[in-house]
Amino acid sequence: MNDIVSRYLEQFVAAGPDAGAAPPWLREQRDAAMAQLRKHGFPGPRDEDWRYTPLKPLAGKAWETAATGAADIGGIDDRLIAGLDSHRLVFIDGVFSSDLSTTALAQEGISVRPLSVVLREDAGALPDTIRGGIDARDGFQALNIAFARDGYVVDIASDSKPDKTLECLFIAATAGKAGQTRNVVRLGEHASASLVERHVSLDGVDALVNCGSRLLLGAGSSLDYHLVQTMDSGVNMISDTEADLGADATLRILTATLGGAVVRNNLQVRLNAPGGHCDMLGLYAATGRQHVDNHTGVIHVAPHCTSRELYKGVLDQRARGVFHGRIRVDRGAQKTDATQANNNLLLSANAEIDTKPQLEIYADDVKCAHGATVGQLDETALFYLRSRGISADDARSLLTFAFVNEVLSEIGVDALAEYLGEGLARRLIQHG
Amino acid sequence: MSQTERELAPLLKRDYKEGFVTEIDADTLPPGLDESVVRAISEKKHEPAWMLEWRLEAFRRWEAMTLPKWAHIHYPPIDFQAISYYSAPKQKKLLDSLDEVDPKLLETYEKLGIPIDEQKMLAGVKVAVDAVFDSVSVATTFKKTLRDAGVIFCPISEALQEFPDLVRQYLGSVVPSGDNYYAALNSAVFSDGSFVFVPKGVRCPMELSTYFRINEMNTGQFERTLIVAEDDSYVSYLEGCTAPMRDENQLHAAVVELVAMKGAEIKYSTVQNWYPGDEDGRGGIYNFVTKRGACRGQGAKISWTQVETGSAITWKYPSVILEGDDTVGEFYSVALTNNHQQADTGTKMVHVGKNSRSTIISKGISAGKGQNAYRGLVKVLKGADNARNYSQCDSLLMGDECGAHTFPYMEVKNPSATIEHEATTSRIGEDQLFYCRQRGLSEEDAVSMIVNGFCKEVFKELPMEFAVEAQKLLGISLEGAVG
Repeated sequence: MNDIVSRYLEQFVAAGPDAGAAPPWLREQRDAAMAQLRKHGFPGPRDEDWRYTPLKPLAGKAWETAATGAADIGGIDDRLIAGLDSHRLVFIDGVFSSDLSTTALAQEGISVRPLSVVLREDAGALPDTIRGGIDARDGFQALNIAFARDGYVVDIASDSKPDKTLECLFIAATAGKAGQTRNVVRLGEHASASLVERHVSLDGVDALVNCGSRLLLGAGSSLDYHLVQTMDSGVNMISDTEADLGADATLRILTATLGGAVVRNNLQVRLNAPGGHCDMLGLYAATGRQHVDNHTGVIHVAPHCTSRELYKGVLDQRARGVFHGRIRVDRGAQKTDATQANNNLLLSANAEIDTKPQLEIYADDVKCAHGATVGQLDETALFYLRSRGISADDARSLLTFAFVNEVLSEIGVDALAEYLGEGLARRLIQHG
Repeated sequence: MSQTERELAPLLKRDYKEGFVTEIDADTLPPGLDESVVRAISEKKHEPAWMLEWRLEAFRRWEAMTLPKWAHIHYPPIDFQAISYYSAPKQKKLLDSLDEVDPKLLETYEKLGIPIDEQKMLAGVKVAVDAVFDSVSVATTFKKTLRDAGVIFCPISEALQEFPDLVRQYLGSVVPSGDNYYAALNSAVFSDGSFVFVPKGVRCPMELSTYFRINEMNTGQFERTLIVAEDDSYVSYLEGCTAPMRDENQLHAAVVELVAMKGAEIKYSTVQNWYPGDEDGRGGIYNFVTKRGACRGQGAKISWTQVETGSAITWKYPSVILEGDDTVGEFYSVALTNNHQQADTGTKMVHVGKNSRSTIISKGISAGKGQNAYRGLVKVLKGADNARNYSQCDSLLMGDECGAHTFPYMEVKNPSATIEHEATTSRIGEDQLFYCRQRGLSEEDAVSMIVNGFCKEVFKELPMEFAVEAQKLLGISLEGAVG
């Protein structure tokens, strides 16, 4: 794999560290990230955090980062969510496309811009946490920092709320390319917003999506964040989302994975001040030879915070699912209330699930619970439906749909819930 | 400090009453480990040539291995060259009966309340005991009664002389010599342990028990236990351990292998009370143990019950490989960490056979600055149709400086498997204490009652005498002066 790193290095040198009008701090970050990648390389199967995930599809090839200037893919009308009235930024292979995006938002206190534009015009506006030194958790994150040239930057001023759902649509369009993006969402005190980050692809494309997002929630703010992925079965994806919550902030985050080849979603939430609350919802439906790995962690740094996590997955054919969830309660984070559940449905003899729900607790006055289940459809329920004249396939689909509906029903954006429901139904009927 | 914490603080003090040292001449190898030490141990034991080869092979593997770092425990690096790998009480000649055992040794076991005097035992409980002092077995009781029933129960060193083929057939068949760092070390230098063989259809007439004691300074104890239960047999085996109070850390790296054939049942209970170190975390035993059982035949059952109250660090995962169809694996555990104790313990249940079932009940209690982790693996292989697992891990926290952690792993490759895992974390509530006190119970009794209630599901799996001892031990561990 060293060979791959040196090819990335060649690409890095060829692109120039200051590509895309990078301010000095960013050049330093990119150099540092590249140095880190050269030193440590990509994770291996012996890394505890990666033991269940095949690394070859992700790191066995030096994907090319798309140059500036988005590829022309014609229209995107058929990729929009029906009934979702949104303010939209569109990225092709990780590069902002102004033609396909909606026109700039003219609402006071709300700023939704591509990173490339912010870096060119207003780099000082990026939060300190983005501009500081970096310490990438693994090789993929380092790769992202070294190569990302675009992404979205959302700034919501105190007490403001966008009048529409914000949507960032990423389209993997070119074979062999890597869409590397960095995103920032910052909410001022008592601000609120709903954001949908979607990843889709053109048919038959093999590509890599490697995106990193930082969510910064000010005191009393509230963010509904949805990471939705419905790509073709040739696209590999790594997403890395880190959230920091201030006092009394609320984060509701959904990670829905319906497509892709090898998909790894990292999510880390820190509850830094009292009163914070976070809901982590997850949904994955995998078929074929898909591999879906959800790695989540919530850190209770401050007392009097609550967190709730519910991940549900359906695995069919030769699909493999991985769930890793960790609740950490730091010393002093008393009165924490944290729960975590991971439920899995295996529909085929060749499907596999590896689940690791974990608790790490250093405070005594806390309520923490986690649970995990793996099972199949209830035979008696199937029999009940069949005895009422419902075909075996329909009965299976109905019960499977009921299983995932617990998560769907909690999605705040109705049009999105409907879209996901339809996507799931299509998959379940197709393969049920 | 809240009201409850103030009340609990004095109760958490403990004395380690087994911490005395027996002054006895010992035949001890100088510290250090190389091939010659392995050869010397094998020679002292008059072992057959294949055994020496087996040890040397393990030693070579061990040399090539690196110390595992994944466990949630912290300790300074161990200098494996500073440990003596063999220590035996000096004996003039071979023993014919208990009367010839050094009275000092008998006294030691008497102090510990371990009945190796058959006379006394006849009057009371009927348990056959094999006592292991530092590295060697000093006495095994009730040998004759057991032989009459067809049961072999003797030190493994003796078994290597008397039944070498039997030992050779099973030794390392469950825990291969290169299984992990400490198992490889054990395979190279183990000096004694117990061997149990229960023939087909025999229900072992009494509980078997081994008592382990570390006495010498700077020694490590490496014992190896091998239990084989043939078709449709049954055996219940108990294990207890203590060590003197010393300022330095001592290493205990044991290997236990269980083999249960068709329809056989093995029940293995441990009450582990190695010296845990003092209040500031000085001294104590490093307990790095590999325990694994294989349910080889249809309907075999292996049940592990453990009460872990001692040791500075506990690192053990009694496991069951459910190879046969309809096999059953059970794991019941209470682990207590107080002061600076650390425990990373749990189990592995590997479902291979159809309709195999496993149950995991783990209760962790953390007090003082103790860190307690449950780490478990439930693995369902492709052919394990209708495999069933239920896991429950509860943690009780006493004090705001301790930690309780849960790291379960579930790997499922069969859609007909049903796997459930639940974990909770809580503490002794002020309302619970208040309720008990209001009904006239003292604080000590209330705490002890709540803790015992918390552990009840596990204690009820222990043989009666052990359950009583375990309850007492927990009482002592938490109550100190009151106990």
